[in-house]
Amino acid sequence: MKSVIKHIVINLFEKKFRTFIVLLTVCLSTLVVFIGLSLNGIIKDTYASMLKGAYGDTNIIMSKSSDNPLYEKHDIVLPDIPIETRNDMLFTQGKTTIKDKKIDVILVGLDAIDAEASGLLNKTQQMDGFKLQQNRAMISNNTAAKYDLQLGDPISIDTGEEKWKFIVGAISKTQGVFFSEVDAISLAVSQEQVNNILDTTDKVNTSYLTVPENKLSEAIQFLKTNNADFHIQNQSTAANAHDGDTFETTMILAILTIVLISSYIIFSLAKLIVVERMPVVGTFRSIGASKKLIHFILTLEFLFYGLIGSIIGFTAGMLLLPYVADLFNAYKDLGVETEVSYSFTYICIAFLFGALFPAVISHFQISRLNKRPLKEIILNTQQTSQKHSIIPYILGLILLITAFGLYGINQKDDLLLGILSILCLFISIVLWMPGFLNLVSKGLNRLFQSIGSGEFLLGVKNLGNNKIASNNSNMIIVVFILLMLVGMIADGIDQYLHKSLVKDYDIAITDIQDVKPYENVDELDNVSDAYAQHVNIAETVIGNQSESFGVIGVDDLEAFDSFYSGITLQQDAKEQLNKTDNGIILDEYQLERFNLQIGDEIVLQPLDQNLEPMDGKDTKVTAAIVGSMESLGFSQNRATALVNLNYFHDHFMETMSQINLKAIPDADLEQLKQDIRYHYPDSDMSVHTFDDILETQKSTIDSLILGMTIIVLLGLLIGILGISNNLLVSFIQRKKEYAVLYSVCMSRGQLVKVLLVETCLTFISVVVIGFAGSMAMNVIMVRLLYAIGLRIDFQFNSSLFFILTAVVFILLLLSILSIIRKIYRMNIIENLRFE
Amino acid sequence: MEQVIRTEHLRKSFQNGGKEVEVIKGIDLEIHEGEFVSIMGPSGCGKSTLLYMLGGIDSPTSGQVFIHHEDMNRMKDKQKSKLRRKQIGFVFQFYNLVQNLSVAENILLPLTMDGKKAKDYQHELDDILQTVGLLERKNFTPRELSGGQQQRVAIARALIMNPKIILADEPIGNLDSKSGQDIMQLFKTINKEKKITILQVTHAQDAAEYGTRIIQMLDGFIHSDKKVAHTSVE
Ligand SMILES: Nc1ncnc2c1ncn2[C@@H]1O[C@H](COP(=O)(O)OP(=O)(O)OP(=O)(O)O)[C@@H](O)[C@H]1O
Ligand SMILES: [Mg+2]
Repeated sequence: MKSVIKHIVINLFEKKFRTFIVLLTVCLSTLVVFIGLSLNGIIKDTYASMLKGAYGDTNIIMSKSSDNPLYEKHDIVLPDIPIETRNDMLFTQGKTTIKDKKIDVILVGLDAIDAEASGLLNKTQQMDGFKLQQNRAMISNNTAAKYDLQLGDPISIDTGEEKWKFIVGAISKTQGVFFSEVDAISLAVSQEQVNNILDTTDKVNTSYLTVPENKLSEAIQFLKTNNADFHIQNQSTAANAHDGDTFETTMILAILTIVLISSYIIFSLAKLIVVERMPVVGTFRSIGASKKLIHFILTLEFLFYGLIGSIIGFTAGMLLLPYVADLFNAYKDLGVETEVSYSFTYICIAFLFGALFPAVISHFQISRLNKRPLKEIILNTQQTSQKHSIIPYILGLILLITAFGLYGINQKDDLLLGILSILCLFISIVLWMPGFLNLVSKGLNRLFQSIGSGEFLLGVKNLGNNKIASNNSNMIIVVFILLMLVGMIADGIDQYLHKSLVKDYDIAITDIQDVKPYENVDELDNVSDAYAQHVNIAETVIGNQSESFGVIGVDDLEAFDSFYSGITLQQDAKEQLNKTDNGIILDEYQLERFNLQIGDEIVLQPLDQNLEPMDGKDTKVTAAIVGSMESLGFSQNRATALVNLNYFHDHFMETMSQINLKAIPDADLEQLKQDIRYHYPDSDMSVHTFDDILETQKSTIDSLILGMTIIVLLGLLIGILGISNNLLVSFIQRKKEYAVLYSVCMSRGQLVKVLLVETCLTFISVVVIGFAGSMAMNVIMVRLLYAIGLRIDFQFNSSLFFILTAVVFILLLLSILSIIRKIYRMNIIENLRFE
Repeated sequence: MEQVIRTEHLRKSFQNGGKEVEVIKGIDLEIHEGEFVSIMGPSGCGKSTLLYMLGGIDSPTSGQVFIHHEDMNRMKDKQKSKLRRKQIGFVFQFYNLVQNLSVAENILLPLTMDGKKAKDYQHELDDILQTVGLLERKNFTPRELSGGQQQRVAIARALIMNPKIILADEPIGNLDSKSGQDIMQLFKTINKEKKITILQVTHAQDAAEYGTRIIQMLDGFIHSDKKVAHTSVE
């Protein structure tokens, strides 16, 4: 036993390159699994910390949803629940000029002591005896730095009719009320002064409340029933409503892919190593070592790889995590620090994967080895010929049929079925590959029987029946197709954002409870057209699939249709909707997906701001489908629904309403944005340009794409390592074959020719099978992408295909160059003798 | 008679753990057309090494090998391989078949590498398979053959090109005495009828006596070199 271990240790050192690659593969997979798993949580935490930065401890936000948004503190009827913190604030807008620069100012009237207690302010400097009183203001350290303001500096604010002078009395950290100072600065001032400005007394327009987390829903329920004209928002649902879902699914898919690639590589490496250990095993078995002992020792070796590799891997992962997480922090510009946390579970999962996986895989390989007759093991008959058994092909065929069967069945775009069908397709490709190569080899052999040169024909034969040569092609194709898979998903996401959306408006006013007060916005200068969109989110469940629709109440379909070119109404949908009170128009994708016909009814559950059923109870609406439309250019998830405005008012509530504006050509949109804010000084609306909105979407999606790209690159790296190892090792394994060929009849030049033929054929097969496989993936993957909400017509990613083809080409070229060199240097005699 | 192989001060040494060990210590040898030479000697005395050098598979440390008066040292790799293909048939101590090719493909390998078409030689193939008694195992892979059968495939491969010289390293070491005798008889026949020069390494005295000349090697030198007094009856 000692001698066997000694042999293995010697081997580890002698085959440094091999050991290095195995360790690196294990290390990288552990790293990716760890980082990938941790990232989801971190992104969520960072978002939560962004919210916390903006709202402090607040978990309920209240404002009034009527024409007159101002109220007095005691207007709110509070529940009999301890309120931990309460901040009533009065917001208004103004302008100032600092160093000849015109700047928008948001004046926040608040109680400095309360605000500081709940984290909405955090003083870092103040003048002696500072109090937030008449003509005193607090600014953020961001603003102080940006405009070079110091304690005691004056700021003069223009609110339209009057001018107000403030002195900077304190500077706070950029959090809470200062949090979203992107293109305006915030000024915390006393409430009385804002009331003065607005010519009111004791009024506020927003209240932040903190209640104990376990009493939250009770509190919200009470507030809703007792403050009917208030808009109540649950801040903790906002934290969860983050669009992390698509992100999470895609990320997990990508991690799965990496795990698949690493598994495959480790699998192949294990196979190679086990085969290589054969002679020793043979010798030891022949002198009486038992199967069990051999098994144990070989497994030990893989355990060693796993342990060392995964320890390095997850240590590197821990070190790298903060940097990677930082890359994904979409709120860095807002000063949000990345919340890095190390989950013990993830560390365990990654570690177990890295440490045990190689051992488990090798276990199977060793079992297979041990099943071989002792004689073969001892004599170490070189097994380079490929056995063609029929079972994998039958299995592959069944899986292929299953894959397309599942694709057909999966009308409703179920995620699990989508993944399952891709998996089936993938395994079937892997199973069929040797057969395909054999077929190509046989066909070419027949075709060129009488005209091909001996070298050519030998190369062709090797592709089909030489285990090592065909193994190489197999591995390349597997990695190739897996990377195509991830790449196509990434490309789909990219298209989702950049290619599908139609720019139908220049500016959107959002975060409004009611569109009425804003309907005259089109009277502003530079506005050419405006459309007030009444929107509510409603959920439907058909079969076991659910979908959230953005239901839009439309008054004048003609106007709607001409305003939005991103929506194309089909046939007589317009007339039908006008005719039918409870009519609804859905995207044709949804009709097909849920197998709905015009005339069918659909049951919708309208949701409130907190995405809970409206009025906290079952308030389902049954609408009749009267037509279909094509709405990809309007909203990319194709989940928009149109109903009549009256019907909307009767059964739905405005939760996501917005006003979309078109500006006259060449208008200054930034100026227009300011004008709009100025026009509605005491509204808490948000005004954004189309490009702003696209930009925020883009930052989420870009980080997603970045993640995918990193994963493709890592996968590529692991793949390249594995493949180049395979190619080089295959040379070692084939040395004897080359030596025989040389000694019998071939010159080194002819050996190289055979190798070139094999490599060319490998390259061609990889390209052909890779193409066919990716095409099939492309069809089947539609379901998967639709399931995660990317409802676009996406195409085969030809640029990735070419990149991968080029990588394979370079890889093969490099490896072949090194092998050619080795062939010319090879000592024939040594290889002709025993192993 | 025409001289086929000649060596001049042939030496070969191997690096072994930093030390240089001389294995062939200056051999001068002449072999003429139609001779059937058996090389004998204790294990490790350098027989295989000598044979490899004669076949151009290994190169000497010093000295020369002439095949048909041509200095092997001066040949390019391509010329040497052509020589091995056309003039020399090699049978190895460890059969050395290509594992992923069938029996027929293995035998025809030298032909195809010489740019000839396998299908034009089916007749010759069958003849040779008949001779070595493997006609039914034409499409087997080496793995599916016994050691002796593999050795016979190797012999068939050496014969297919009708070489001028056959270099055989213990060609019947793994065969039962009956098959061994058959192969020796075959060697003898082709030696006589086709005037093919044969050089074999063997440990068996009776196998050696099929030949016309026996060379005894000892520790890198030629110890004795005698003609066989033919007593055996055909
Ligand atoms: N590649 C090599 N490196 C080092 N030493 C070698 C090498 N090849 C052969 N030798 C040594 O050369 C000597 C002769 O080897 P060779 O194979 O020629 O012996 P042989 O006479 O054929 O023996 P056998 O009858 O056992 O086959 C041996 O002592 C061997 O150790
Ligand atoms: Mg020998």
